[in-house]
Amino acid sequence: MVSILLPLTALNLSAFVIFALSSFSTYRELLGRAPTENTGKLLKIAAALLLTASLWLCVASKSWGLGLLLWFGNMTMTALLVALLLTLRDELKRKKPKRR
Amino acid sequence: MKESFFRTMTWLHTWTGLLVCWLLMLIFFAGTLSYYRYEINLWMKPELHTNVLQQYQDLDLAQTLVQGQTYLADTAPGAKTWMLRLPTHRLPFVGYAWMDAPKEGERRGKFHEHIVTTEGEMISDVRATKGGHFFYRLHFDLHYLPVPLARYLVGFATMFMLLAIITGIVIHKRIFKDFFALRLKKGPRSWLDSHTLSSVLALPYHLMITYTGLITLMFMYMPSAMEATYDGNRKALQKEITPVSTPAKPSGTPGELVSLSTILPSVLEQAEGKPIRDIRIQNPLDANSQIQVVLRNDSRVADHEYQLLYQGTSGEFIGKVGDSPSSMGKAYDTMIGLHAGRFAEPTLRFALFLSGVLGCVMIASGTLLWSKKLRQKQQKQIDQGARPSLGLYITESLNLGVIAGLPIAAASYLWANRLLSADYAGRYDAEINLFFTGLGVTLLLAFLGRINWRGALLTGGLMWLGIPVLNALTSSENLITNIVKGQWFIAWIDLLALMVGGLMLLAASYCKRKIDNKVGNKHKTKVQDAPTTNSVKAAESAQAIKEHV
Repeated sequence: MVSILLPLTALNLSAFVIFALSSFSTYRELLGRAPTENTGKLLKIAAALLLTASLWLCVASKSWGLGLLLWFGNMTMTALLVALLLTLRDELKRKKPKRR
Repeated sequence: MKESFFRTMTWLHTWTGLLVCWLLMLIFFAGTLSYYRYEINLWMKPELHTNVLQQYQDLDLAQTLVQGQTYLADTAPGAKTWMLRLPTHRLPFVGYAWMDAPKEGERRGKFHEHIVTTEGEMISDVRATKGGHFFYRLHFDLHYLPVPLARYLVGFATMFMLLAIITGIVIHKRIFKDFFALRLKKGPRSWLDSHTLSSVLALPYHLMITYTGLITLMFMYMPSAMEATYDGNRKALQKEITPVSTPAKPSGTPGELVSLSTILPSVLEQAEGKPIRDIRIQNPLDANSQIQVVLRNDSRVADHEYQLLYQGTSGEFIGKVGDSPSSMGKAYDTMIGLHAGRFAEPTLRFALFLSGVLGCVMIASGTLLWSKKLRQKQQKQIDQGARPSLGLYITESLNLGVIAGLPIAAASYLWANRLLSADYAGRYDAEINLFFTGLGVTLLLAFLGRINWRGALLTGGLMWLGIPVLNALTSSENLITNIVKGQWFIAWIDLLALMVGGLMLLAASYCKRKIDNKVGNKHKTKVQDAPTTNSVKAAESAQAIKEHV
């Protein structure tokens, strides 16, 4: 199980980071400029491809049952991590101006 | 048409959710803790903390089995069934157990178990506790209620939950746009964010757990098919799905049981590499005894048992059970297996646990969102001195009492386990009563307005943080020694307690002081009205999104 956990997490994590970036406001917050419409679309496609790859990885190395379960479970955890990190970043940014 | 459909779904989502949310919260909370029911079990029996944990692959099988057979013949010659339990990933120790013949009016006889230490000594004196099984039973049998009534209540709540999830998907239009947005300290907006985030992120889990939850008790909720085909005889149905061996009937003449070491080579050959979970011997000292070897199937989701059967006195191989389950049986077993997660190894188990926590967050944030919105509507009148409406009073008190009360109750249960004397006769029930006392007191204080969120979360947080300390004081091991010895199975509960306690303190620090009294609320509204740089930014980006769309 552990052997595919690392590549799986890496794939899903990058997929969700890209997915988060494909949202207009997150892109502008993180990279400082607005994405073009095409960039947004491309990022979404890239994220979807990465998720497909991770699904393939799961199913190929486990049975369909366990593979799907692992895929869904890992997506929940990685997406949660990305969401919490973005929230944490907002929180830290909010605290700074107060100190000045 | 479209607008009215959307409205109907919103209405349905709100009311199906709100009506059962506090019961659902209890069910979800208990279910989530049940993922660690064996860890909680072991934690609550400190007599078993030293030199007990073992691994299957390090075991001398033949010696363990022979020792067990001799021990049970000396200790429980009159038992109906003997059980030699070998270490698994859920029960990592060796136990010699037996079941008495059922007394009149009982379905099963009394179960006893003595645990074998790594040095081969026996531990027979363990404190009486329901341990983690309490949360497991609470999850679908509740407590103090007749079992059928409780299960109907749970089924009712589950059906509503399924409705709420489906309508929730329908009404959440911006399911991908808001995927990672959790904006804190923005009143109802923040609660909506955490509600959607916890629902969407674990959506596959929520759907799976709700649906399979209904399936586990489907014969009770929808009995007509079974009534029609099998005259309501559940056993006949089960026999057709999974042909289980008919239990051997005692002949009445004594007989000598074959030594388990002689059948071991045949068992290992038939098992084809699957580890043995336990060996059960029916009517052990009778001429018609039977040996059932239960094998583990760790690599599959389905909760399905394989058994090898041997004649007890001759040691002759009778056959395999559960070798080729029917497709219906497989489907059912898979759903039950998915729901209970018995197959899950630690990482997957933790993921399931966190998904359960997300479920609790989903329910809690949903009902909090509702009460915040209601309060907002009434805020003007409340500011002018009016009392909050009855509905608002009830939801707010129930929210505080249940959401903060459940972790407080669970902590009281664990504290009671160590503070009640190990010899106290009524301790088994007293522990459980103290769980409900914790919940009841929090609810009562919430309704009387004697406790606020900050106070309740602070109390709960400190109680959970105290659990590793309590364990260190009352067990032969503590968090550090458990980790050093690699006894993660026991250390895990302490670690979990630290996490829960830490999160509750964090939540308490977010609650402003005196949030429930009027002055506090006025103050809060003022703070919210003042535009912070961040809210301006958020408004800007919202505007930008609109333009973008």
